[in-house]
Amino acid sequence: MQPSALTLNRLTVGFGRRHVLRDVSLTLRAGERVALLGPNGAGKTTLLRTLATLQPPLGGQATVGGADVVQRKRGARRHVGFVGHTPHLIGHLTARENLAFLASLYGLSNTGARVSEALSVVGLDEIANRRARELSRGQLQRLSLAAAGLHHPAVLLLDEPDASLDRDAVRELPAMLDALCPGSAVLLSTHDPDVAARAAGRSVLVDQGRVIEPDTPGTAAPEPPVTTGATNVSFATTAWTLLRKDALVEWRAREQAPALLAFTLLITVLFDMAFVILAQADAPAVAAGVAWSTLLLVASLSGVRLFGSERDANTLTCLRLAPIDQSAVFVAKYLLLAAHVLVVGLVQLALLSALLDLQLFQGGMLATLGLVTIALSAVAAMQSALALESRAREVLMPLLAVPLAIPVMLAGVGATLETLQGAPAGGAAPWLGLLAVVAAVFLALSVLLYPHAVDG
Amino acid sequence: MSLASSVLRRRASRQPPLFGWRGLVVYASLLVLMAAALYMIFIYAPAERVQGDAHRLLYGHVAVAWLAFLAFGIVAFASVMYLWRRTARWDSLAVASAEVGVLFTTLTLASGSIWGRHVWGVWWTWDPRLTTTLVLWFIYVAYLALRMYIDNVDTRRRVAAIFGIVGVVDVPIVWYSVEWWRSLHPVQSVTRAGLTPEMVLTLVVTVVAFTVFCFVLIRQRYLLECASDEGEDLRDSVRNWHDELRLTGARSTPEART
Repeated sequence: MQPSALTLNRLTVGFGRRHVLRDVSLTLRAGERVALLGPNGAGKTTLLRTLATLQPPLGGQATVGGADVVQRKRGARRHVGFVGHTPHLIGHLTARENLAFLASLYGLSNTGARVSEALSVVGLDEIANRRARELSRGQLQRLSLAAAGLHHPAVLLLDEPDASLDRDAVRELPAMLDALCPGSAVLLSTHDPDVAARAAGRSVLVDQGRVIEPDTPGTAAPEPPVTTGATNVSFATTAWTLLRKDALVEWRAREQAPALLAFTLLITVLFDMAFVILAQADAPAVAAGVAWSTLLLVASLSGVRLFGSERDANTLTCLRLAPIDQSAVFVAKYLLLAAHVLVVGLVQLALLSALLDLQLFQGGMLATLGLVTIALSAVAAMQSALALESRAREVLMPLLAVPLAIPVMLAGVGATLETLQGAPAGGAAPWLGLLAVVAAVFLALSVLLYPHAVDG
Repeated sequence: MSLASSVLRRRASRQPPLFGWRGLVVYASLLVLMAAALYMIFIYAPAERVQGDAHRLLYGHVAVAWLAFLAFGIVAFASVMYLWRRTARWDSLAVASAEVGVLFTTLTLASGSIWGRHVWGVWWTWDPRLTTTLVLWFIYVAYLALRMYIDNVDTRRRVAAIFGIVGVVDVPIVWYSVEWWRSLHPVQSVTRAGLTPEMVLTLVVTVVAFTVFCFVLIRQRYLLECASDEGEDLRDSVRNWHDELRLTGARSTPEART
């Protein structure tokens, strides 16, 4: 007997200890389509999110394509396509780029043809080069369908797919699913019995936390199981794919760089006025203090948006659904932040050189800048991931990052003073060593702990 | 029905935290130890030759400082255990220790500052010990703030555990960075006056008394946190049970009619 595409065995889902749906048992064979019908709050979305590995179940067992959604989360993700209430697409990428990005994350072969085919199936081939943020709600829903079915998952989970589709598209939905991922089992939730009748072979009614209508096996002839197109992608390739995406989004959105540069200019001039003109401090001391405390502020400010923008656009869900090592997401974000901090640091050295009449572009200073960048970015990126789900992350972020980064600032100031005051060669070495240790410790901890922070 | 009643039975069978005869023993010994410590600090121990009576502040100061570090060590240990085991109790222990740790760090900084004003003539100096303690205070205030701002209980526990671990890892780094800094820019440090046997005995008794006090506080706060978690669980269980009952009623009604 061939294995089922989706098996739920007395699955209980909910929040804390509060059950939303209890003891659900259900089996879907390859090619079978089942509609979950039920009123608002019946637990349909929670069930689908649990099966999509986005939320751990409270009890029972569920397997997708033979992989347990708790024990083998990454394996299960290869076999699942999920369309949620809100689209998890990247607004600054075009429809085609969105799909190509996902194809790289899932390690699909023959990407170009696969993406074009998916776009034509959902009827978006003519606007494939339009950015996702310019698409209508219905077009986004079609693109979400294409994204979910791109890797030919064993199971497609659709949360109210009819919610924002026009009447024609709802009518075309079964044909779209046939063409997009033939043979995939489909579990879709809807309020509308007509949609259920049209798009699914059988329906299961859920209400008051239970499956009201017991599961009866479908009568359709079994289809051969689907082989998912998702393959293993190396950590480095995944991180590179994510970094390229982040850099492209930043380039198009210009969300961080201009504001950060303006902020740096302002703070540097302000500190210069306060310490040199008003307090008459000596130039090397001002340069050492101002350079690294400004960079610390910039890194913690920049960190607020680092994961925050993904969280607000709901795109972290798309990364959590992908069968990738989640630490790669952190590494890509870290590299992006480090690039920002480095650019800001270089601009600041130029500014301070001019304002204080110092020669700051020298070996010792550049080495310090490099190491401070690596260490500060590690601290700030990690705190950004931790503050992600908090209510007041803009306020909280500096509160978390600044105390942890104090050794970085001290070491930066120490190394700078040694360099600028013409200490004997190697005077700055202990400070640079300390910076290297901080960077290594925080990077290792972050890569190790990041999956716990975002992915349960 | 059985679920709710079993939960209620479980609650009723448990003794209220630190009451009953065990609690009496603990509180009585704490009272005796504290009274002894206070007596020894203010009457038994001789005044120090150079510092005079300001010296008496240091007994409590040393005790709370060491206990603050210990409490943060417990936070880190409980955080690691939580990430490994995912049992709510480890998280409860972490938050209990963090709160007590912040309280004791505040006491350390305040007592140290008052002592410093009398002996060094300044409220504050950038001594490695002082600086590290201050940074530690900031880190764990941030830890408590982080917990306060995350609504989802599972996320809160996970994220706080990570921050709890990172915070402790940062402590030796802060210590060394300030230590090196001091070697470049020497500042005033504690005069190492010789301690008389009476002073040593007073210090030992004070440390023991404060250690018991610290553990009682952590335990009480831990039990309070557990009770609050259990309250939430109980509420959820009762609601589940209520749903169950309503569903059974809804199901049986049509059958009864037919």
